[in-house]
Amino acid sequence: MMISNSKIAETIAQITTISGIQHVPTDVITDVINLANAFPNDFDSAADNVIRSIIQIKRNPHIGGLLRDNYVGYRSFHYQNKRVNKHPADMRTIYRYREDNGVIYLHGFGRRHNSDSVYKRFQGR
Amino acid sequence: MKEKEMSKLSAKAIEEVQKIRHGFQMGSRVGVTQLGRSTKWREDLDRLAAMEVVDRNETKAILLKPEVYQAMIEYMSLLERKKEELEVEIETAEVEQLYGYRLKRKEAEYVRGGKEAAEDAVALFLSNPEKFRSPLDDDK
Repeated sequence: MMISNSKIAETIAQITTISGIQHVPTDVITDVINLANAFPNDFDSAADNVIRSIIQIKRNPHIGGLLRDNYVGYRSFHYQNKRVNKHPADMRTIYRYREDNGVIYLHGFGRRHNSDSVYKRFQGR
Repeated sequence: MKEKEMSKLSAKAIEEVQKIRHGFQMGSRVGVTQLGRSTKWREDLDRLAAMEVVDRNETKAILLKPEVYQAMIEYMSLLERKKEELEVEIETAEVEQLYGYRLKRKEAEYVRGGKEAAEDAVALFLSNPEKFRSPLDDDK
């Protein structure tokens, strides 16, 4: 089932409305479209859980696991696309929290273990 | 496991754990009834590090020397830490592959979330939804 433009626009609005989070609009648009592609039958649930993850991150910026090497300070928060018992945490939201000024930068969200071909095609947009 | 991490366990402890990992030696069985009747099993346990406790030819328990038990706990903790390290390493590599180009962006490129930002983002998408959607639609 193809997700409508109005549904995608609605989800983009819900995510970019969240105050206290800084984002790059084209990244959010790209990720919402990727989400629609990854979850054509469960888009609403996946989108709700992305929004929920961002709200959780805003409430507790240390909730995500820290990355390493060149990405010290960046965090990855894992969660389920469906809130069902024993469903795997198949989604992630990537962000960075600056302790000095309290700003949270949203870098991306989506399904974990995606085939990289889709993402590579969006790179540089 | 890396040599540096292994070195946190004593050589003796590693030797004891390896003995357990590679299975029990011949003669490393003791009957439940013998445990109370004789003290020979104590010498055997000292020598073997671990023994099977059998009842009617069925293994009912594993007897470990206290230091072997401790070494095994330390060994398992070390493995657990190593597993966590590997998970972070894999996650970092995956994130780099998927979002690496974004993580290098300057902070000035980010906009604050809010009603105005949402209106702008939606307007940007609706100005040319086909442009944003086309790569994915091509995949179908």
